[in-house]
Amino acid sequence: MAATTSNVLQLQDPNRRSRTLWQRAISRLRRDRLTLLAMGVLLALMLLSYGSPLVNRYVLGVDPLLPDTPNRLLPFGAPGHLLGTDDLGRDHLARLLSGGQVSLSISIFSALAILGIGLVVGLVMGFSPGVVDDIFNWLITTLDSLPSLYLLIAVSALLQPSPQALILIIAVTSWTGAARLVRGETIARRELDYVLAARTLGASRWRIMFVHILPNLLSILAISLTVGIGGVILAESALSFLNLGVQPPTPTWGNMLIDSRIYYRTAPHLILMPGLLISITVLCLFVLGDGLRDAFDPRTED
Amino acid sequence: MARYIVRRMLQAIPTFFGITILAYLLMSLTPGGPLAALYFANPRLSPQDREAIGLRLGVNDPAPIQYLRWLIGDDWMRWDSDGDGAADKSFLIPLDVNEDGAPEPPGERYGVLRGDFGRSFFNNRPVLEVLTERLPATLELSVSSFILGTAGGVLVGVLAALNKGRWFDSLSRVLAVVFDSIPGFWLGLILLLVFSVGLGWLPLGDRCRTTLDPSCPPIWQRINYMILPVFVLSVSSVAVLSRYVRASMLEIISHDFIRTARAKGLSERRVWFFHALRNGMITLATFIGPAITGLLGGAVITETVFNYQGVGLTIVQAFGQRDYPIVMAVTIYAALATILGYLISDVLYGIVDPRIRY
Repeated sequence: MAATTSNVLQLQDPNRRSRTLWQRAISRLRRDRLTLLAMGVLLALMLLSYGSPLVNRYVLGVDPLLPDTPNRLLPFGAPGHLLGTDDLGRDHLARLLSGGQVSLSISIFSALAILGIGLVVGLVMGFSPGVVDDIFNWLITTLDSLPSLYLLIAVSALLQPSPQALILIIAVTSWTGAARLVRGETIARRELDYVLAARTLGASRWRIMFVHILPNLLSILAISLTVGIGGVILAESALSFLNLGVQPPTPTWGNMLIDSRIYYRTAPHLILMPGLLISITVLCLFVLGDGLRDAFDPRTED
Repeated sequence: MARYIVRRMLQAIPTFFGITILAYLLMSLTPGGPLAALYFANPRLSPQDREAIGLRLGVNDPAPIQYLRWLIGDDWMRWDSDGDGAADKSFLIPLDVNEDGAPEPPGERYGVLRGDFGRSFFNNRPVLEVLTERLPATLELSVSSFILGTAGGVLVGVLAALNKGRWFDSLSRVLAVVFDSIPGFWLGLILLLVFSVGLGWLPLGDRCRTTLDPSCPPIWQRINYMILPVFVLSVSSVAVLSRYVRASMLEIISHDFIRTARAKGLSERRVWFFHALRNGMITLATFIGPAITGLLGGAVITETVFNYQGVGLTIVQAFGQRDYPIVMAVTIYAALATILGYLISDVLYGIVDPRIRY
C-alpha cells in the first residue's frame, strides 16, 4: 500500500511547483514564433507611431502638418522624402507615423471602452437574471439588428468627429458583443463550487463579481481586446474613408486615403501605404489573438 | 415549424420598436433637430416661415406625440369630418395650435409604419421613391456576392478539410486571415488601380456606362462593371465561411456515422459530399444572418468606392446633405433586412438539422 502511494507521488517532481494558467500561457507564447513575430511588428509600429513627434523632428526633420506646395506629389525615394509627399507637399512617411498614432490611440481606447462597458453590463446581466437581464437583452438585440456601420453613421451625426468623440461613438455602438461574451462566461461560472464557497462565506454579490469571477475572465478579455482593437481599426478607417471620421488636417490612416483617391494616376503610392499599414496592423492583431487563444487554452498540449 | 416562425416574428416586434425609438431619438437629438436640417436645405427661409413650418411639423408638441406622428402619422390626430378642408376634430393635440382662431389643415402624415417616410429634405421627393429607385443596384450586388461568397466559402472550406495539412489547406487558411484583415475599401481601390488604371481591362467604377438615360441595361450586358465590386464584397464572406466550414467538417469526419459510411464501402467523395457536407450545412445556416448584416455594411463601402448607385451610397450622400428622412429610412430598412436574415437563419437551422425541435 505504501509502495503504491510513493509510486503515484513520484510521477510528479517534488521540487517542481505546479504552474498557473498565466505561467503556462507565457511559456507557450515564448515558443510560438508566428505570434512573437506579430508582437514584434506591433511593438515596432507602436514605438514608431507614438515616437512620431520625436522621429519626425530629429530623424526625418519634417513637419507632418506643414504644407510645402512646390514639392507636392513627389514619388517614392525623392530626396529628403523617403515615401514621397502628398497633395500639399507634406512628407508621406511623417504623416503615416503621426496618423498611426491617432489611429492606434482611437482603436486602443475604443477597444478598452468597449471592453469596460461590456464587462460591467455582462457581469451585471450574468448575476441579475430576470428583469435586468431581459432589459439589457432587448437593448443588445436591438443594437445588433442594425449593421454596425449604419449605427456608426447615424450616431456620427450627433457629434463633431474629433478623436475623443469618435472613441465615444465607437464605444457606445459596439459594446454588445463584449457584453454577450462576458454574460455567457459569467453564467457558466456562476454555479461553480468556488462561487458557492464565496457565497457561503458571506461575500457580497459585487465582491463575487469583481474579486472572484473577474480574474477568471482576464484571459478571455485579453483575447477579446486584441481582436477588438483590430476590428476598431477597420471600423475607424471605414468611417474616415466615408469622410465621417477624424477631420483633416489631423492625419489618420483612414482619412489619408480620401484625399489621395483623386491622385490615383499621378501618385498611386499615396493609396498604397496607409491601407498596407492598416492591413499589417490588423493582421498582426488577429494573429496575436489566435496565439493568445491557443496559449490560454488548457486543452492545448505543451 | 409554422408556430415557431410566428413566435420568432412576434419576438422581432419589440426589437423593431426599439429600432424606431433609436432612429427617432437620433433624429431629434441631432443639433438643431429637423428644423435645422430644413434651414440647411433652404437658407432663405425667414424666421416667420420657419416658425410656421415648425408649427405645421409639430416640433413644439411633446416628444411622445412627435414620435407617434413620425411612426403612425397624424391623419388620426387632427382630421376633417365635414369636408370643408379645415380640421374640426382632434385627438391628443389641440385643434388650433398657433391660437390665431383659424383651425389648422387636417394631418397628412401616414407615418413610417404605413410606409410614409416623409420627403427628402434635399430634393423634396418621397423617400420611398428614392429608395425603390436605388434598391435594385444594391440587390444585384448583394445577391450575387452572397451566392458567390457562400459557394466559394463552402468549396474552399471542404477542400481545405479534405487536404488537411497539405499546401492547399495552409494557403487557404493564411489567405483567410489576410483577407479578413484588409479593409474592403482599400482592396477595392487597389483592384481599381491594377485592373482599371494599370491594365485597362475593367471599367473605372459606376454601375453601367454613363448615358443620358439614367437606367442601366440588363445585368448580363454589364458583367464587367460588377466583377470588382462583387469580388470585394464576397471575398470576406469566403474568408470567414471557409474557416468555419473547415473546422466543422473536420469535427464531423471523426464521427461514427462517417466510419459506418466508409465501412459500407462508399467512395470517399460520396462520404464527404453527401454524408459529411449535409451536417456541415448547419454551419452555413448560422452564417446567413450575420452574412446579410455584413453585406449591408459592406455595400456602403463598396458602393462608395465603385460609385455604384445603390442604397449604401444613398445613406452616405444623405448623411453629407443632412437629409435625415433618408438616413432614418435606410436605417429602418437595414434593421428589417437584418431581422429577416436572422429569422431565415433560425428557420434554416431547423430544416437542416432535424434534431432541433421547436
